[in-house]
Amino acid sequence: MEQNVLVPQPHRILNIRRHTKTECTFRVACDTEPGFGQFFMLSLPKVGEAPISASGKGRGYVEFTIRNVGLLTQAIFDLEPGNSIFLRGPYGNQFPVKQFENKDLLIICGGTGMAPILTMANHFYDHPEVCKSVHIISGFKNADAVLFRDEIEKFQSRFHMITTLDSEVVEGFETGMVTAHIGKVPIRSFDDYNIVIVGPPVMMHFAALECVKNGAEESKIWVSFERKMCCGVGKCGHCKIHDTYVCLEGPVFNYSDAKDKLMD
Amino acid sequence: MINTGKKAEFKQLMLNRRNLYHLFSRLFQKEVDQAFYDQLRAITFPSHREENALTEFKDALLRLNEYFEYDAGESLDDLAADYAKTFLGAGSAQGAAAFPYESVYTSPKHVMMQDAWNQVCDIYESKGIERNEESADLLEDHIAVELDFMAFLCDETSRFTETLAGLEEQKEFLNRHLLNWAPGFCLDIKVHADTEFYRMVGQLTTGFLQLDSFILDQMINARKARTMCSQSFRMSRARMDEILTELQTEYRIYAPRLIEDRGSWEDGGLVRYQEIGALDDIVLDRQSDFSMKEVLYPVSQTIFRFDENSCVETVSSDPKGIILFARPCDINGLKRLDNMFLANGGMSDVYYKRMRDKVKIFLMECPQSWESCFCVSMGTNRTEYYSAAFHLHGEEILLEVKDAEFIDYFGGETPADYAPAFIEENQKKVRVPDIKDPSRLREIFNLEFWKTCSEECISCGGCNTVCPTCSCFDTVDFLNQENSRKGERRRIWSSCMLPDFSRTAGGNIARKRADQMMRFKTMHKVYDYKARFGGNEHMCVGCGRCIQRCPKEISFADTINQLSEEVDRLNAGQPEQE
Ligand SMILES: Cc1cc2nc3c(=O)[nH]c(=O)nc-3n(C[C@H](O)[C@H](O)[C@H](O)COP(=O)(O)OP(=O)(O)OC[C@H]3O[C@@H](n4cnc5c(N)ncnc54)[C@H](O)[C@@H]3O)c2cc1C
Ligand code: SF4
Ligand code: FES
Repeated sequence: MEQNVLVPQPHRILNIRRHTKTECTFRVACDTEPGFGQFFMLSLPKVGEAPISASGKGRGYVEFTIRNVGLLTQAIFDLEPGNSIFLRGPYGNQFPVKQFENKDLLIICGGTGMAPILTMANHFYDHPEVCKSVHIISGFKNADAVLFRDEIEKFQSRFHMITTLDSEVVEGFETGMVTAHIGKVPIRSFDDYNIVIVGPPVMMHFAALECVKNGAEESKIWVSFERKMCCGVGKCGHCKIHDTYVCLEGPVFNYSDAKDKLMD
Repeated sequence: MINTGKKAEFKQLMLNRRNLYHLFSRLFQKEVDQAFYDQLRAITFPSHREENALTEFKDALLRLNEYFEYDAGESLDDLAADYAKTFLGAGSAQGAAAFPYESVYTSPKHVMMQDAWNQVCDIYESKGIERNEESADLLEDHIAVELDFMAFLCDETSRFTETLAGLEEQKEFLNRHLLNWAPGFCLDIKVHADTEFYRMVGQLTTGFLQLDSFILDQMINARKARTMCSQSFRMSRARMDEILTELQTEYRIYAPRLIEDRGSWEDGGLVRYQEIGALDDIVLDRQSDFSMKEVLYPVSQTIFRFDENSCVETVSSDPKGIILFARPCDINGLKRLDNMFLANGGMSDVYYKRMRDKVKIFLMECPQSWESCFCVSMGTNRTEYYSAAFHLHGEEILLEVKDAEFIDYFGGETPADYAPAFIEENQKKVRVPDIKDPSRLREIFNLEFWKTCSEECISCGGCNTVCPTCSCFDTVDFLNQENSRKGERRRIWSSCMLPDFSRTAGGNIARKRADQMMRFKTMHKVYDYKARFGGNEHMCVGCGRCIQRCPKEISFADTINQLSEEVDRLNAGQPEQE
């Protein structure tokens, strides 16, 4: 029998961790291990299907951090531990972590954009010898919107961690957009480095420009694209930009390629 | 008319072989009862062949005839006792017997359930076979089960259209398994059996298997010799209709057909690909409004059914093949769909593949170039990819057959000298933009031209719908009833000219305006596809249907030509003209 990639399989929800009113992390029983930055197609029969990045992984499980924004995500929020969620994947390429070894690394993420970089950040936390240094700038709208508080606290002990709120002034956080803090990272004094930017399209656009302004080379910047996806396997056509299919060649792209090639 | 009914004859031969295999299987499955004894007595075995290889079988047949003619004095009870002794080692045999299992004959220690057993188990499983009740208590490599499997294969080959693959499969199983051990086993029967009946059964079985292997070889060789043929014929329209009727026992035949109560926006009736029964059903004097893609990639297609706990794919079991009467541009379009569905991402889409594997193309020669055609410009006016090509416009039908499967149907017609003619010039001519270097793309992207060429566009997506190469889809879940737990996920044609195509949660739309969408579509059709898949082919095949369809009379041919002029200007370093 030929393999049918479009039919998802049920997986049990092991537990649900609530971060904010609109964001939860679902731990789902699953033996397939995703690579850093890969995504799965999650679905609930009756409602629909959508791409969601793996935000965590461990023995026998994968985690998804989901923002409740629409039909499917709302229906997922109605589930409880023990219920089934349907999966297929993992799909897409990965962050080129091999290339990050022995160099400085700057990760800039906004909101749920922290989800796709989390497995990678945890990897560097567990193996602090791999990168020369790790800087993370993570931005949230306000204090209520802050995700992964435990992880952020944990990362502070080993990484240069800046957590910033768009305009709110709150004890323990910086204030201002992520772009306002990029200047604090000594990019110019890095020997060799990489920059990963994940977040809403506008945020990625301005953060990349700001990095370049601060001396970064475009070819050292990596971004993760978000496109509507109905298949994840190069068939439905939704994620196509020019001759590239984001679900196949992405979601991670080098900024110097993406900037000119991936125009809508 | 030698060939008429050859297909039916072939089918009958497969069914006869199936029945014989069933009969032999029954002989070994259990003791003979009265009904089966009578059935044996009445049967006539094929005996008209003269070949030397078959002496074993001829001898056995003579013995069989004698056996029933002169009562051998063996009662059913005698036969039952001998069955138990010969095959089960019961009674006086004291455990010695001709044990009817392949692995007893092929494993070094002569015991059951060894390699051969594993192999046949895998083969049955790969065929999705469920064992029937009568033989359920027998191991899979029991001779009765293996013979039964041959019957299954014969039956399968009789139903499907790819006969060569089916015959090869039969030969493989027969030679690798049955013939590898059954002759030795049958010799052992002679040693252990007390009755003339079972000794004869041994000889008959070996003879039958050898004969069948010989017949299979002959059929396979004949078919192989034919696959690269090309023969041309002529016939009357009435005769063609007869053959179409005959073809319909094996194939569903699709062709452009008029749907009268579904008006196109312009004039009465819509021409779409539908099943046809006769020549007169085919619309020949006008291009079909929709392409043939909907036959193998339906507008809306169930991909699986679900309930709360599972998603189950339902596979159509329609064994019939598909014949598509198609024009060269559409046949070339099929190759574009193949790239997307079978190649892109290194995975094939099983829904498409299942249909695609059944498709045989009947090329329809174009009587003329229609108003909007620009196939010559796109290099899609010709094709070699067809099973048969037809000239359907005259009183007499002319055809060329390339696929051996169809010689069975058309081979008896009057030979003719015919090869399909192709359109060599269209009224409309299109020049594809000469984009030498991807670094030019940003300039092209920023052209004001996109706004002017899409000023009239109302983003209805009609152009995508009629396009033979547009393949995008959405997935949508449907419930059987409101509040039901059961339902199905379908995929439905989508369209990059609709703003929703690129809409993500929160109302973010990557390409909102008509000019952005027009740019996306145009670049895909005349640049991106080729940049991705290489080769010389663009996605657009120049059928011109989108031009006919557009309610705003936007000509895609003009769009491409104007884009080419803009690109020429950029290449020459001149600024864009207002
Ligand atoms: C590679 C990738 C990784 C992602 N990772 C995450 C993640 O880790 N966490 C998270 O909360 N969100 C993630 N998203 C976004 C997430 O897919 C959307 O929020 C989700 O599809 C919204 O679905 P909905 O049914 O609730 O919204 P609705 O607005 O009701 O959407 C209806 C349908 O539109 C499509 N759709 C809508 N928005 C998007 C979108 N942004 N991307 C793709 N398809 C969309 C889906 O097919 C969805 O079923 C990711 C998107 C991509 C492309
Ligand atoms: S058919 Fe015409 S109006 Fe409709 S989307 Fe296509 S180009 Fe635009
Ligand atoms: S998501 Fe369907 S082609 Fe990429």
